[in-house]
Amino acid sequence: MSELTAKDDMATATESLSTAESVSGDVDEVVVDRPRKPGLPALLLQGWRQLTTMRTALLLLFLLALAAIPGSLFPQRGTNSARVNQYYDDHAAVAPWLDRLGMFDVFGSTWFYTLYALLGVSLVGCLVPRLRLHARASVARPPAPPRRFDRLPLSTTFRTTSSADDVASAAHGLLRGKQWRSDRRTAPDGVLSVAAEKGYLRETGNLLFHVSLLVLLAAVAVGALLGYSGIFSVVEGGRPFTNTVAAYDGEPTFGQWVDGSTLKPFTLKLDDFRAVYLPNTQPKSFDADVTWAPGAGAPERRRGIRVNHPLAVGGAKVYLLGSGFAPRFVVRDKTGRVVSDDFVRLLPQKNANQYSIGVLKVPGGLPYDVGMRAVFVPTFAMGADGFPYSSSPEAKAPVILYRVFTGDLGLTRAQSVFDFDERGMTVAGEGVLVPGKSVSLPDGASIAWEDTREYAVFQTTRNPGTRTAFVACVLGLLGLIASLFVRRRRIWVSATAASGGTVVEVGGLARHDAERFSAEFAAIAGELSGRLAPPAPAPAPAPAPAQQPTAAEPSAGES
Amino acid sequence: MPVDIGLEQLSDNLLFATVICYAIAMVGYAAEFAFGHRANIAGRALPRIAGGAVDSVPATLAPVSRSARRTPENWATGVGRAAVAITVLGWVLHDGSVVTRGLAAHRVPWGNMYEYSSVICLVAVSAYLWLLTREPVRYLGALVMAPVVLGLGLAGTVLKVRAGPLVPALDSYWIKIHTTAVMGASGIFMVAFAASLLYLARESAERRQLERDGVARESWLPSAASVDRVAYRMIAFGFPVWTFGVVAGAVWAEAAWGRYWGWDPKETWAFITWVVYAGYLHARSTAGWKGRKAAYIGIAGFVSLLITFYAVNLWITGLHSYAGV
Repeated sequence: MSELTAKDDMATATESLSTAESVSGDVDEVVVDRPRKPGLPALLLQGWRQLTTMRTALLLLFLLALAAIPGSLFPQRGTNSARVNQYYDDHAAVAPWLDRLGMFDVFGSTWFYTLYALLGVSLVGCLVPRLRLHARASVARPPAPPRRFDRLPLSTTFRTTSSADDVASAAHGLLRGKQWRSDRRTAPDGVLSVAAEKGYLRETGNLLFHVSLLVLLAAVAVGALLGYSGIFSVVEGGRPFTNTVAAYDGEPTFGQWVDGSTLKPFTLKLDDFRAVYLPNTQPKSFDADVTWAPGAGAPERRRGIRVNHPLAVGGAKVYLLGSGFAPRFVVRDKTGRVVSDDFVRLLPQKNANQYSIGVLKVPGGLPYDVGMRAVFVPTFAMGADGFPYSSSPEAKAPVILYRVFTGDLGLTRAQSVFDFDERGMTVAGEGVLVPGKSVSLPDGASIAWEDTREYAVFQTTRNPGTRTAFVACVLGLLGLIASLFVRRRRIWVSATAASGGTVVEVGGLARHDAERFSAEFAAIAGELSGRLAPPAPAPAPAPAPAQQPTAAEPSAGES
Repeated sequence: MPVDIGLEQLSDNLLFATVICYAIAMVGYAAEFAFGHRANIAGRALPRIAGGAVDSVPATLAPVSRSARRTPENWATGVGRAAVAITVLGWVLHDGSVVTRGLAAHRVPWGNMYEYSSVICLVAVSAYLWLLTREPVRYLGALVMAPVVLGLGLAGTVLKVRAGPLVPALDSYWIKIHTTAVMGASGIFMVAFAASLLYLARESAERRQLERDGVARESWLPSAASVDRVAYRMIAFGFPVWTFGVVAGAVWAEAAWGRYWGWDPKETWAFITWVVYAGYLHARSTAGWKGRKAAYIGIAGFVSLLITFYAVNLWITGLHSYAGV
């Protein structure tokens, strides 16, 4: 880019314009002229150039933004598969079509990845030549002055009795002192000049930002391939959780390159769970006190897990996600023998003060299977519409509404822990239960509600690449700030010997924030003339004072 | 600690007074906008600076001093100045409203959409007033005040909630970092939005004038190029702040939910907004995309921001729905 300016004989108006283009740095795609080859290679080259133009990158960027929109409008499998199923039920006609287009998994769909990858390639294509150019520019001498300074956006001329050599030394020293990269030159015709440039950090920052963006993309990909995440729940004082695939509620989600063998061994017991609510039922705090051990036989440790305060276990983290109530049901046969005794986790309904539903399944021990649907109302109240509701999320007046079934649960089919299949069952009774009371079955068996505890829902997550992504973000942000606020600018000073002294020409060029630069330029030109001997009282009219540099309308430049 | 009802009431009253001040100021700015230029309709011709044609500018163009360009004044100029005074008064009341709300609830005053809207508007007005101390941008007043009055009106009616403590999900020091940055950027983008709208209007006016008279005339209104520069500066300033806000949000999400990015609707729209503004910054320096196209992208960025903030909370359910109304 600066080669053009090096050719003094070509220093024309168009040339100073091209200097203006090149100094802007982050503006135009770098067009490197390569000899054209015929055939397929030429076509590929053409395609590659097209892909790596700024215009294509912009287009891809906007397509990516557009492509993300359906991901926020349709339920996504990754975040909420239950709502996807709900959508299937509600819109049976369109759902399969939307599914085929990947609308329920937008961010994992082929076309989203394609855009993502194209943008990445385009970015690499933009970056590689620019990294090379910037590396070269960083060690190169600042470009030589143009032949005509008056073509530059800023220029001024004055006379001095100092020698041309002194002028060049003074300008060189002055600019160096102000942290400019300055270079003294002697043109073939003997004219001494100083070329100086400042603000390389702008392009450095710009490149750092874009490289960081690539690193971030890579880190996100690593996390998606090597990470896992699963949800489990533990009842207060109940059975401890051990970190195995089977212990999770449903299959944990694994990245494509990992499986259950990557789970770090640990056990976790819930000692106590406290949910505190405000009088208006808004939740105030959730605290889970746990005892955990990194692997069987390892020493146990006690700790509290709260929202925003996860537990770190060997590269994975355990987060508190939520909580619910777990009534203890003791099932006895007609002789009074205990058939089943367990806490049953109930699922709190949204915005309903822990009004929860769930099922008790007793698949053995009695001559038939028992299934009971239970609605847990922590603080029973009757609504004006005749339906019961919970007036508080705390178990102040707990009640269970039940409907019990007998028959065949059909457990050979895969089922949710919160539901059962009624097809092989018949209703054996329904009613309201209070703590300590029992439901009687027709043959004399009974289901007693003995106790109620809370359970906590946790999520185990391992997301490798997180630290890399974070570092990339920090560096990218620093680069971004530099690329937006550092101004790249050039100043040239030329000293031509003339009768009775030297004619000093100062020229300046900046694409960014031309207004600020014109003030800086005037200050530097003024300081330079101050360091030089005043002009001899000449018969010629006084030269233009340096403090008043001629300036093009600042708005002509990029701000 | 219980909510201080007296302070909460004071905050509500202050906000009401703020809206009235801003509304009056808006009318004042609009009046100056409409009638201010009558006085100098036969303004001098502007030096022509067409995009790219730098060599058509006389190289030794004398520097244009500000005093030489000062336009004649008329009654509307006085109205415009009064509008600034009323804006400052409203801004002081607005600050008072936000501070008393925080004191009433014993926490940061941005825990729900109502408070959040108010703070964004406060940032927008602050950014406008700050800009006014550096550049003569009074012409932007009406276009800044209009969304501010609308935003505060919406906050005071539809989004209004009583002061209370934070929900557990928000009860983290990250609310001071992530939310502050996002609100700051939003307020700054609001000013950029006003400037982009004005740019479009000025650009077509100048083009029409150029076609009709062959020369753009000076008016008390700014040149399209200078409004464009204000929009760019605001976006260039707001963009890193927004980026920081999104990154801080990712760090918070990692701490709270175990993943730094999960394509939750709020995250998705924050990403879209980021991409659109990044597109603006690139477009503004790409041949063929400067000017009107870039301004449209800037406006699209603000629309996306509004969706991120309002639509996602009100109509799309996701993890951020705890912030409620």
